Amino acid sequence: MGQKVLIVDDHADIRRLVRLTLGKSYEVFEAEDGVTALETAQRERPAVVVLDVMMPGALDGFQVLKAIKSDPDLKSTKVIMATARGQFEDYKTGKSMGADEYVIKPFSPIRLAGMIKEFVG
Amino acid sequence: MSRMIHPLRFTACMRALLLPLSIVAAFVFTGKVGLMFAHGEGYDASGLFPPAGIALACALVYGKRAWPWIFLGSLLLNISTGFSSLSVTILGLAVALGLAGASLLQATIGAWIFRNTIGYPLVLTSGWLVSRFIFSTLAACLVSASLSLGILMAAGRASLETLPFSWLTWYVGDSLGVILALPLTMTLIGEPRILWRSSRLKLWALIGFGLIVLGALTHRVNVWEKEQALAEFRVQSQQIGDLLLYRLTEQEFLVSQLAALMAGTTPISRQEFSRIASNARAHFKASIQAIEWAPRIENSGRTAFELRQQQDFPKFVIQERNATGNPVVAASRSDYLPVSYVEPVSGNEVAVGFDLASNSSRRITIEAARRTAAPVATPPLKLVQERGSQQGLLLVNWVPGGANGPGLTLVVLRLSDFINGVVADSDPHSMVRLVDADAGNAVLHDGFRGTRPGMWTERQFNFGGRHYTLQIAPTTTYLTVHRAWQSWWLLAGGLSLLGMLSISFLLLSAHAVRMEEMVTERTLDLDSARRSAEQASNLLREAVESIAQGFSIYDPDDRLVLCNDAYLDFHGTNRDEMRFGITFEEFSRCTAQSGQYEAAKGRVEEWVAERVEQHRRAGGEVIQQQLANGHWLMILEYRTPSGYIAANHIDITALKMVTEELRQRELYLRAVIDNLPFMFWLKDTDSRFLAVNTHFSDACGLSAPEQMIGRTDLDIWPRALAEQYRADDRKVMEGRSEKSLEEPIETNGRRHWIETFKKPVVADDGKMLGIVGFARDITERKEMEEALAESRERWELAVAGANDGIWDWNPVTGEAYFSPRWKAMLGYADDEISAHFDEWKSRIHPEDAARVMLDLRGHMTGETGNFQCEFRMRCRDGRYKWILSRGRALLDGQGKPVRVTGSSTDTTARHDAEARISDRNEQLNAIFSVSPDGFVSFDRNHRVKYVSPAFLRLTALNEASVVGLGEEEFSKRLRRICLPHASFRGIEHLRHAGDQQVGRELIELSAPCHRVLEIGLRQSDAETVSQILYFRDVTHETEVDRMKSEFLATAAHELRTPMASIFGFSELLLCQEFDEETRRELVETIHRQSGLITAIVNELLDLARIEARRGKDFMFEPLSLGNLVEVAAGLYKVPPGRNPPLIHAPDVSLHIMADSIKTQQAVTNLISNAYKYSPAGGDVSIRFVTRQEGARALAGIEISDQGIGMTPAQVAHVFERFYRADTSGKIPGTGLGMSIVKEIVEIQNGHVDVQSTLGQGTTVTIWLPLGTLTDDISNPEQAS
Repeated sequence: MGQKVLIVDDHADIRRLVRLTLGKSYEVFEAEDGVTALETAQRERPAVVVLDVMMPGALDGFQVLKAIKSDPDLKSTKVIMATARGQFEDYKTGKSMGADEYVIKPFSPIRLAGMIKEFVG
Repeated sequence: MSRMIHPLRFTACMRALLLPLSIVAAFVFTGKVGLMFAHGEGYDASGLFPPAGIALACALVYGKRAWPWIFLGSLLLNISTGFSSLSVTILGLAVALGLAGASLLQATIGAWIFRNTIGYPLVLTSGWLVSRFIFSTLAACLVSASLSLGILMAAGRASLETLPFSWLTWYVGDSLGVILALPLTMTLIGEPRILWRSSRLKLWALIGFGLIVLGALTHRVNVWEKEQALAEFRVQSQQIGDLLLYRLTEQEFLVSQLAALMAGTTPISRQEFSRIASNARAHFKASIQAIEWAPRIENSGRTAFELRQQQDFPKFVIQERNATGNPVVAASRSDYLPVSYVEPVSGNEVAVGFDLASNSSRRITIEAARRTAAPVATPPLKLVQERGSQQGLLLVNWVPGGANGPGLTLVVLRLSDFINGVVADSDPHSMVRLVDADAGNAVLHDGFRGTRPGMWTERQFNFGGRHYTLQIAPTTTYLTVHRAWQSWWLLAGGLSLLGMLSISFLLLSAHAVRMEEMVTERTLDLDSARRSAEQASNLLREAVESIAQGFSIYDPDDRLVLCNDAYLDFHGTNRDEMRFGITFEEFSRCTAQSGQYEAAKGRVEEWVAERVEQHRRAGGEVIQQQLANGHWLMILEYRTPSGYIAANHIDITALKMVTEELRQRELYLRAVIDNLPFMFWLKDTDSRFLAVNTHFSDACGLSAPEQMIGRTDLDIWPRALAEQYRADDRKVMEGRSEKSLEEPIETNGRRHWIETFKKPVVADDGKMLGIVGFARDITERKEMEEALAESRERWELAVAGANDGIWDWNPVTGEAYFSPRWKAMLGYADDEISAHFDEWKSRIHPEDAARVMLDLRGHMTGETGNFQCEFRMRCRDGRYKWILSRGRALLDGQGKPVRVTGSSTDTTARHDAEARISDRNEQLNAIFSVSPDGFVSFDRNHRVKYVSPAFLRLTALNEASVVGLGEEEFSKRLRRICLPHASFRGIEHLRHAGDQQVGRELIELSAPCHRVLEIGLRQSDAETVSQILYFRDVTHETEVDRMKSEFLATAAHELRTPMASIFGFSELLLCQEFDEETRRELVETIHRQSGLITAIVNELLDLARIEARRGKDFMFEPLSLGNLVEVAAGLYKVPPGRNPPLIHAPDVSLHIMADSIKTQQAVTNLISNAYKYSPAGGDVSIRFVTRQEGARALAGIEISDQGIGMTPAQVAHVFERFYRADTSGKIPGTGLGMSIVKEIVEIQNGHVDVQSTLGQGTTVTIWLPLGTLTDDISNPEQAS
């Protein structure tokens, strides 16, 4: 088993897409809301988190990002924001909060896989 | 007023006019009478010309006064005689004027000669004087004769050859006129009266008789002379008549011969006719105008005739004369008599073609000619060829037929030419007049030329079947040549004789008168002397006795010679006891001793000595003595020139009493006048003081009023001043008018002003008694006025530039002064407003008047320090002007206003401006009050000057807390109510943020509620405003903007999510190998997500369309609710394994007005949601409900499920777009369905209710208004 990757998205199709793209090279976890995502991240300490922004529940993507980046245990965790919010403001917010990459839906799953591979090394 | 002349004045006028009128009348009348003795015509001198004598007499007696009337009389005489034979011309008038001048000159010179040779009053009492009178007359009369004939010569009215004769007759006529008429005139007006009047009757009788005899004689001789002259003339006129008749008979012969010729068998051509006729004209020496042939032409032959004649006269046409006498083509008639042959043609062209039958007078003659077959003459007529004013005559002869056809032969005569031709040959001394007796004595020829000759011969004759009268008179030339001198010599001699007779008579009568006078005078003198002496003596006696006073006369030896009873009575004695011859001293002593005189009691001798001394002095002094009986005597004694002493004793007891009373009164009066608060004086008519009061005597520098009595102003004042006063007095007395004046007087080096009032004192009978005067020192008032005037002038100068008007009012008199500028301000010229306060008061606007007068009164009673009031005044054109009036009252010592002076300023312009500003302010305020935008304006110092109501409303700031703040303070104040993240950055920032003019900024307010305001800054160029901040509430716009961008973001997000699946999976499918099952699964996902995108896009479009159309594409129709739901349910494909919706049919049939398709969509959406959100199954049921909501009834479609349900929080978001209760993504949906439902229902005036319980299910009800066809729902416009 390879590195851990956490996929956070409220849409099952997207989670499935990312999982399919990454294939067997990574240990893939899924979360469909912010709270679950943060719990999973803190528990599994994934190398990469693919994080949606707009999600139901108490925490949205940015809050999760903030929490991850402020968690010393998750210092090495790279976060790729994958969101349907395409405005430049969102991109800026994400970057300023420490997102390592920011992709806008619809994205190329091949390129996302490339990004993750790069982060994992 | 009637313009009647006062009868007295009228009489005076008459009297004043009587003399001139008499002169003029006498002049003209006697002149006319004198001319009866004349020996010739016109201006020819008369044998006796009395006017010359009248003129000389008037000039002698009245001098220059008589000149105009002599001139006028002479002029009238000359005009009346001179113009009888001359037409009134300028020259004639000039001649008449000249002759009148000559007459006047002769009269003047004659009078001068008379005064210097005989003297005036004219006394002809000696032969020597009479001869001087004759010579003077002969000398004076040279003037008029010479001058007048000179004038007539110059005017061409006298010939040189007759000059000596004319001069002589003129001269003799004038001389005789003077010799006869002058004495006659003198008897009427001359001096010495006694001489002339006494001989008046006799002289007039003598001369009158002489003239009658002479007149009769002269007349006889004249008649004889004329007979002589006429005898010769008759022969001559007989010859002239014969000749004229002969010549006329020749014409008859000529015309009948021509007729015979034309009636002959030979056709006569124009040329032949001309030849024959011209021969005839030459043969008959008389002047013939024309000989003519006029054939008779039938109307049928007119054109042919005209054409034939046109060969000779190209313009020939048969003509007639129209009403104005102009030739016109003859009207169509049955036949014509056109003149066709004319000899000579020259001068008669106009007659060619003239139809003789066209003229009625000619036609009558022609008819006569036809009947008689002899020559017939027409009445006098105007020939068609006549250019002058001569009368014409046609002599016609009818030609019944022959070689030349029927027609007329004519001889045309211009009668004056004809007669002059005949008479001139024979005699230039005759004048001929020819009259047609058959035509009412119409004059055919007038050789008399308007004159009326003294005689003429007359002769009747027939010609051309008519009767004529021929008159022949001698010409002036004839008469001159045949003048006879016998009568003239007789007249001249007779008149001379008469003149001599009358003068001799005068001489005699004057002498007699003188003698008689002397005798009468002496006799009268003696008689009257005797009578008066007797009378005087009687009178004296009677007088002495009758007088009530005592009267006495003592002789030079002082003995009593005469006294009356009263005298004796006063002395206590009577005639019986009295003896004449007693001396005054003895008599006085007796009387004194008898105790008669009070003053003598106890001192008889002393008193007697006193009286004797007084008596001898007899200087007319007044001596008063009281008698024992209490009576008072006044004794006046005076010495006569012969040394007698006359004495009057008058009882003055009554007088004494009256005097005493008068003295009392005088004392009272004096007390009164001395206490008058002004100077008072009374003067007699000579301006001597009769009474004055102490004020006046003080003012004159005299110690007592009595010192003034009898004095005049000359004694008191400097001469110039005194003269002036006296002149004033005279003016007052003469004018009987009062006079009031103010004048300065220098006294002791100080100038005083004195107001004087003088009034004449007139007795009841209108007699002037004197003059009364009052005066007072008004120096103080005057100085005050002068000071006022001076200050007013200064003020006027000062305010002249300021355009202010000045007024100055004297409230005591009501007089007022208004400066020209003041008047001009109201549009008046300087003289159009009188100097009275009412002029000011009456022009105040009625609405302002009460207020103004209140203010003015307030100031005048001292309530206010200054009068200042603004009000409207009426201008000349009726408009009103705003006037600011300021003034101040000048108070006298008692605090009473004596003057109020002030200025007026025209403030209309300011008022108008204020009104405009106020109006504008109101408008702006109105605008500001309704404007949703707030404004804050800053003044030039960048301090808040004004804040609008909207600003205060938006910011909930207090006006007082903002106005007056500086820019920075204001910014701070605003920041306090801003949200920190959208605070106001300050005006300075705004100024730099924007371009030069406008800067903008958005701020968000925390108080009074959340508001987003847009602030703009506008720099201003206005004088009082430097900049304006405006505040616009953009909360709503901002919110809409925010929602829009949020919606866009959401929509994008919702699309991106399924897109991510499609894009991602398809990329995977392209790049990786998958087993068939996975592959299929992935493609299915792609397909499903594509479907989702399509649904989203469709619903977005639906929503967009619904929103954009706002119901405009809704087709409202009556729908049955049951049907609607059934159709909608049928459209929905129930998921497999689920029961179709359970529809509970309604109890009654419910109808709504709604769009069928849209409402079905809404219902379908809800059914779809019901199934979707009840994944665990359970029934979906549909019910129908109704509800009354206020005035309207609603029908509801209630759709219930037994699904997952929602929390209240979720229910709150249920209508938000893209909101989905399901976040798992397991339930497909766009999140737009409910939004669409809501839009559709609300557009149809309904609403949507959502009831939901988490885990139990949801019920959604669509409420729509129950409707009928007639409901307002049927109107979609209203419904929307």
